[in-house]
Amino acid sequence: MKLSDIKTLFINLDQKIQLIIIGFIVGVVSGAASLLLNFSLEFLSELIEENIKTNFIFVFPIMGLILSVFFLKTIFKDNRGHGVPEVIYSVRAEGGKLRLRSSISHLLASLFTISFGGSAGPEAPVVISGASIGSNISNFFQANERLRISTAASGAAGAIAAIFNAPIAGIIFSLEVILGEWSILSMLPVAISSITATVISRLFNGNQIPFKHRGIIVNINDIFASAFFSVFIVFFALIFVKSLKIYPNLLSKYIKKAYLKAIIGGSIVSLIVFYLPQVKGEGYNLIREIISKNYHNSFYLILLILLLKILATSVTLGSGGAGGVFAPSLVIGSLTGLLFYSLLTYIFPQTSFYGASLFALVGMSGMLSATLHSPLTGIFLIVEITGGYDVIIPLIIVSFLSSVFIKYFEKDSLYLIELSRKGYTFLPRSDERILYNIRVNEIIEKDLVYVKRNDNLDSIALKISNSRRNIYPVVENNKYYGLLNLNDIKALLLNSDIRKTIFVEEVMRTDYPVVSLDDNLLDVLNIFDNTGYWSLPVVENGKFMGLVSKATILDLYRKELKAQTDIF
Amino acid sequence: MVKEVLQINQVSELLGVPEITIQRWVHQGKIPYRMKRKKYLFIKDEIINWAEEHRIPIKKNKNDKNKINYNVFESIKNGDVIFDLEGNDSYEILRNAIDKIDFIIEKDRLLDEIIRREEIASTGIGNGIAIPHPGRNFKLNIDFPITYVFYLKKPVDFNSIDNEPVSIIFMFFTPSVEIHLKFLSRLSFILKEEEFIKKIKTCGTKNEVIELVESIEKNIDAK
Repeated sequence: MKLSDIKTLFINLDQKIQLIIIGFIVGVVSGAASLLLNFSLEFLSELIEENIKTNFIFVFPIMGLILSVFFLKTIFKDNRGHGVPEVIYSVRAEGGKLRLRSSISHLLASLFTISFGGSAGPEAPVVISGASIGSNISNFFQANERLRISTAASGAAGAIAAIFNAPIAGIIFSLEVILGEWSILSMLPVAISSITATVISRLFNGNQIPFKHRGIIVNINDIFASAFFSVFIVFFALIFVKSLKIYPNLLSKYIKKAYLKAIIGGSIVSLIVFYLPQVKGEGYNLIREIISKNYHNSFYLILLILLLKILATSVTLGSGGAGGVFAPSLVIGSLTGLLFYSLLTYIFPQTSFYGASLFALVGMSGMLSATLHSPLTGIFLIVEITGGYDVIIPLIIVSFLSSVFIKYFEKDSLYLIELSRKGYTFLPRSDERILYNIRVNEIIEKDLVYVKRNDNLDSIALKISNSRRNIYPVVENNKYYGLLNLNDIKALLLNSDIRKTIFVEEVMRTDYPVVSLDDNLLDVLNIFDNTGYWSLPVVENGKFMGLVSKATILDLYRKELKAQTDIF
Repeated sequence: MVKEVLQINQVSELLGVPEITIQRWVHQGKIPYRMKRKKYLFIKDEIINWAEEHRIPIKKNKNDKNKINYNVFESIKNGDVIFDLEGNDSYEILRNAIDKIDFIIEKDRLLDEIIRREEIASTGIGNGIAIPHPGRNFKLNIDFPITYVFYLKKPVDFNSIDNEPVSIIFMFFTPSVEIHLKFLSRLSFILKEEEFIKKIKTCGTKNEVIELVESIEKNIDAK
């Protein structure tokens, strides 16, 4: 059996079977990618830690950032996107198209960023890698767009599942953050990939619970405190989000060269990491210490670590470092929990609360919910990585409240801020998504009545009265000159004398915006809305191609909506 | 900060949908609203935010452009009525006419423009009247239509549709194609009126012309 036979066989399978098979394959590969990064990270970090004991370590974060820029920009030329937002954009707007090189570029770049001391998470690179692998596996099978979207999303799910040994969190993350939809059909490959990747990771790592804790008993005081905790979280989440937004803008204002940015950013990170080694890397050790109650520090030191972690992350990611905000969010969340607990015991010394580890756990979920606007991902991730439902009630309270409260200050999630600024946040099957995918050439109308510039209104009166249209393009030798609008000339047509003396050029409209065949309907409808016109001319290099009209769009739109409805 | 409160009809106007649709959106819980004494109220900022989030276009305040006066009699007031214009043929007539129009600086270009226009199709619309005017390429820095009426000393051939020589010329200028269209439409209605055709020949002063056009125009509007 040849390879092409397998492809043909696959293409002709039932869609649901295709989704299961491809979910499995993507799960295996994305699980492996995640393992690869994890092992290399550990290996490299230990190597550096053990062999370089001198103050030379000071320059490592700088080197990490330079290497990251080197890989992303110089070698792979893959620094256009911003990681996860690129995956979201691709899945929601581009039919899941991702470049093959993205499957390795971010992985490599983040390896150096993180193990050399920069503050960033390894999840985003693995998600990009997983999604890109999935997308390209789909391409290999010449799968259609809907299948490719599913596989890209499955890759992201597999990545999260494998990295945290958390299959449910993988599924939920993919649906809530990446896809933004909850249909069973899209869940199917995501779920398969998620469990497959988890199994792969367990084969090598065993069934480890990353942040295991001893049983936590939540009492009523903790539950009440949780509600207030969410406000506390939102406050720090806002600082985090703003700082992530502000630093790169500030830097770009003064410095254009990517390597210079890396050197400056690296120096700042080096300085922070040198004095506070707690903030470096992805920070999982810090979380482990906090949860296992080994962490005792003053309120001010915790606050300092918290703020510097935020700064170090913003600087690392804003200066060309590769990595994500997932792990830093967890670290910042757990520190916020610690901070909140010490504040709580200071204000209510008599009241009994469970302890710092409870708020650290809940804080992780709350921070994730606030920054990514994804309460479910936060909740299930924490349940899975801490190995129990002990804290589920405060978890739900804090996650949902923080993800709602932050909306008052920050409309879009961290991943969507950039996309939203460009105007693309659309969810699958939303109005924008549907319109964005349809191009003008699908609905162009060509059965038109044409007039010439030198026609007088009398000579075209009959032509016009026999036509059902109101708009007549003025076209000569395929060249577009303007549109004649019946409404403009009604009164003139009624005067049988004057209409002989008026010719088209004088009364045609040239103020209609011109669209081209490749424009998407989202943009075209915006023009309709802004101008109030009902038809627009389609012109390609001065050549008249036809008209688009609002009525045709609406007609197609309804059919499109029906075609896009999933029936499982 | 005082929040601007909107009534349901104002929201309907703002969003460009019928009031009954707004009511349905309220019942379905889709649009943010407040209740006061069993009446629905809306906060303007909230509605605008909501519309932006849902990408529903908001109607901007209509420009005052629409309030430009297209009345023909006003445009004659803005221009002039000139009697006994000399000239033996249409070219001379047009040249002498343009000479009398003060606000035009590029008189030669205007003449070329109008002649070019006449060559494509004569503006002699019959009954001894012609309405020469420049094409869209001749841009003028004016805010409203301006009309000059010329009574010719002796009628000249204008290649009119009824082959009658022309004795009265309405030369008009408009700031834009849009206004040109509206103005031309109005003018075409007036020129069709029999009363106008009969009486315009007998006018002797600027005021008489303006009064005649005004009364005809009011009649048309009343219809």
